[in-house]
Amino acid sequence: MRWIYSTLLFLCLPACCLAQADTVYQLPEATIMQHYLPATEHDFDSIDIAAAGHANLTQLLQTESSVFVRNYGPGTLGTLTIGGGSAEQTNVMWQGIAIRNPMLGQIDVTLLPVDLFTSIGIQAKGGSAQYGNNQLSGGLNLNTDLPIDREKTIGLSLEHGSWQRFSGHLKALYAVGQSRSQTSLYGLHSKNDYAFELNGLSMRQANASIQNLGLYHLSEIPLNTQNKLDIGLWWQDSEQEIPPTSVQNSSNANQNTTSFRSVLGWKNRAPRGKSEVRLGYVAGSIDYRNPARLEESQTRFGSVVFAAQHQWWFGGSKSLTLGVDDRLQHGDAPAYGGRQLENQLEVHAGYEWTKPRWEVGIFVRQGLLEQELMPTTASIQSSFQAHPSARISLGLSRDLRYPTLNERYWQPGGKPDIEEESGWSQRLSVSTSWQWGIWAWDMTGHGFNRLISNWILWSPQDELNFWAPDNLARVWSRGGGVRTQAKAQLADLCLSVRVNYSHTSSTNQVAIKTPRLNVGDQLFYTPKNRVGLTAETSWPKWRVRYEHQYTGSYPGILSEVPAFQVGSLHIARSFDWVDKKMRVWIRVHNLWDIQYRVIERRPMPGRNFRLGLSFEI
Amino acid sequence: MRSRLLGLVCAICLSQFVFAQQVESFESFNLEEGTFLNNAGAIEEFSTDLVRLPNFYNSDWDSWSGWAISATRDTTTAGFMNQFSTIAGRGAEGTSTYAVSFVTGDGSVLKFANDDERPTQISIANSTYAYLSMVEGDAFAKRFGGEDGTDPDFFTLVIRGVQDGENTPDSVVVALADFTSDNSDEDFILDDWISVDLTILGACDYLLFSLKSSDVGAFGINTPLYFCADNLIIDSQTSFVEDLSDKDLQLFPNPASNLIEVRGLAREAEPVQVTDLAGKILGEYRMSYSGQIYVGAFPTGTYLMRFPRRGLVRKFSKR
Repeated sequence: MRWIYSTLLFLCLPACCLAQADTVYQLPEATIMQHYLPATEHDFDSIDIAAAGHANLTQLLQTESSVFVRNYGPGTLGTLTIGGGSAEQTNVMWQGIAIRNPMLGQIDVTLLPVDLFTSIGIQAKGGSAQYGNNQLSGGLNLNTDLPIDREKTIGLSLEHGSWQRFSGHLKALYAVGQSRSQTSLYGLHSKNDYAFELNGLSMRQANASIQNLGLYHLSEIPLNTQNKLDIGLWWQDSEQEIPPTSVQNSSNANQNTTSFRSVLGWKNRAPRGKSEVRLGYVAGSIDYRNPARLEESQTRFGSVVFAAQHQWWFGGSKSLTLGVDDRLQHGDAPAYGGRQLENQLEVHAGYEWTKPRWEVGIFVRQGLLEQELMPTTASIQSSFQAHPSARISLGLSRDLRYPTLNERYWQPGGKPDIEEESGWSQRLSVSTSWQWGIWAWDMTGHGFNRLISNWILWSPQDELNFWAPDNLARVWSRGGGVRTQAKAQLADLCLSVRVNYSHTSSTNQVAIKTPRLNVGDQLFYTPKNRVGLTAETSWPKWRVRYEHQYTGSYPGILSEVPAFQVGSLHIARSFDWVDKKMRVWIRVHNLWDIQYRVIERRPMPGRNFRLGLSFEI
Repeated sequence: MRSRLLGLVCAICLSQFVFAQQVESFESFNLEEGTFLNNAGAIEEFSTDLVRLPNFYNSDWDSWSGWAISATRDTTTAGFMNQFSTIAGRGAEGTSTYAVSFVTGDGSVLKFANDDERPTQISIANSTYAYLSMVEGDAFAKRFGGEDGTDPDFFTLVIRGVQDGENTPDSVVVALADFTSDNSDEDFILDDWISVDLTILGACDYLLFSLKSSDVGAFGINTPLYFCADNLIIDSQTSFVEDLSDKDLQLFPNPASNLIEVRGLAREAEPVQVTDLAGKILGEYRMSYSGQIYVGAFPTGTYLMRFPRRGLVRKFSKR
């Protein structure tokens, strides 16, 4: 532990010495390995991120209809599902390396503060061949890029809100010679003892607090005009209490989660191509305790990630990319009987051909899990400019997900020979944009179809008092959506309205006894219909944003979860004070004070407030 | 005349058989207080002179199902780590040892050492794990009564007899928790041993115990599927009292309004009980040959007339 604080001190001190004034908003250039063709369906930009204040990813992603976060309440678990897939089928990348817990195959997005990043991209599609096996249903790209127009600054951002919520974020940007760095120290405490109604009675949540402390550091070191190094370090310690359900008298369960993520990258750009090498180390632990029930569980994991690729450009419009990814990961848990080690090696290739009106990419990836050859994944992605204002994109891919370490080794239950999940998916999208007077309008509609076999589900075993994973299900997911945005600029006044709608039908294709799923049943916690609306108006010093989300009803494990809709209001005001910049904001979550639940027996909070202040020198 | 005389002789001879009552209290395992057995080894059953209790144990994972034998006393620790205790704190009637069942699949089987036994009584209690889960709720299972205390929750143990591979016609239902009454004052979660009459099951080769709960999800029942058993009483057939076949016993009229006549009883006075369907005794009598019972004061409904010496139960209706 001591080395963490030493590192923190080492990184923070020079920041204080070298700070210089800067501005809040930054437009980043994302770092994503294997970044072919349009990578993301939707990017939350710096404006979205600034409007979110000190929110976590669960809160931000709720406004996006193509993503559903299974959220157990503020400060507690939030896992992703994209396009009717599972959390394990969703790849989460930070600065070009996968950061999921390899034991669980997922990550708790409630623990990820939004304001660490400068871009958050959603890939609402499979992409194993392009982005790495494990991206079976979708992906989330988290990136922080250092601003290119500033050298030194110190920024402090504070937020206070309902339920004794305090959070702070100290950020320093500094330069040494040609290299630039940014170091952030952040923390959060929230008691989360929110009020909610239970059959007309006013109740108050208990044992729901969360505390985060983290350190986030990035450095960019240009070696010359063609070569650049980048370094990323991210440490976080989180202490979460686990609140009782609505049919539980009390809970004194709690969980400590620590994570350490680091990445060292090298980029080379030459006249006829570019290279990128990334070396990452991701480690973490989860300690669960419930003293009243004499329960405790301690797990540790670590992954060494190596990724290298080179892209050759030739013929003016063609490129060939070859690369290799290797992930050596281990999990330690009493239930493993010690440490389990696993190596995932993948080689991949991509060929892209670009013409003025169309582009085509063909990608293939071959994985080796331990000594076993995995099925080859491949995809064809194409895009055609059918009209000056309309583009059609078509994709076909075969994707897979490796079993997690728990699915293979957790005892009792784990099965070392459990099959990987795999499937085919197709996706068609049409984008169009128009300019009409002061209004600029763009719209994208898409449809997708995906069939996944060997879907892994955990279930209680007959005659045994434990659960085990099996390749139980075959799941057919299909649907579509529309995303539209209109913007108008009238002198200093800017108006924008963004609406996104997603329909996802994700049904089981084989009858299963446990969990009880009939053929044609919609998967648990997979809403068919979601709508997100963001309306914003801004003029030089003010910004007012209203967000509204509708989620249709969906089946839960215990019962049908009723539909709900939640609105939030954000008002921000900027000030210039001498040459310093200040900003204050207020956010009202659940503006209409709706009583709702995302998971059965887990009441969500009613209306709540946050007041924030940031300034930079 | 000759045949009538022969019949009388036979009746006198055959009427000398008796039932011997034996009790299984699990004390023969001689467990120290606070200990338990959940691993029966390769034979996969705990056995005594009277019963055999199947046990499936996985040594790799210390996982088990079926039956365990316990002398643990913990009535306060909630959760899976306290799966071998009864909420009653001790065995039935203050004894040290009792059996705990973790019910999987179609149910837990309790085999008799001999076929064709007549179980007459067993003591049943909640496990601490299930009891505290129903009282307090946990991360998976609900507090009974639900969010506002009015949910009509139940946790019941169903006991069936199985003879020659066939279920006996009747079963015994034991309410381990019952919140189904309109009157919430009647809601209860069993916190002590209850004596359960099994005579209705008659002769059988083994007993099958299954659990039902109102708290069910897609993965099955959320309430921990545990119960505790003790003091199983078996009427082993060692002789015959009388050659009175069950068909000789008749209740007339049935349904009855005021008086119901019991026909076909033995010469010697034998006990007769009238109970409601829940087993509550409404009247106890001793009768021989035949007799009449006044049922006019009973509310309209279905009742049971029990003949403990024979291990027989007959239904009748009051109108």
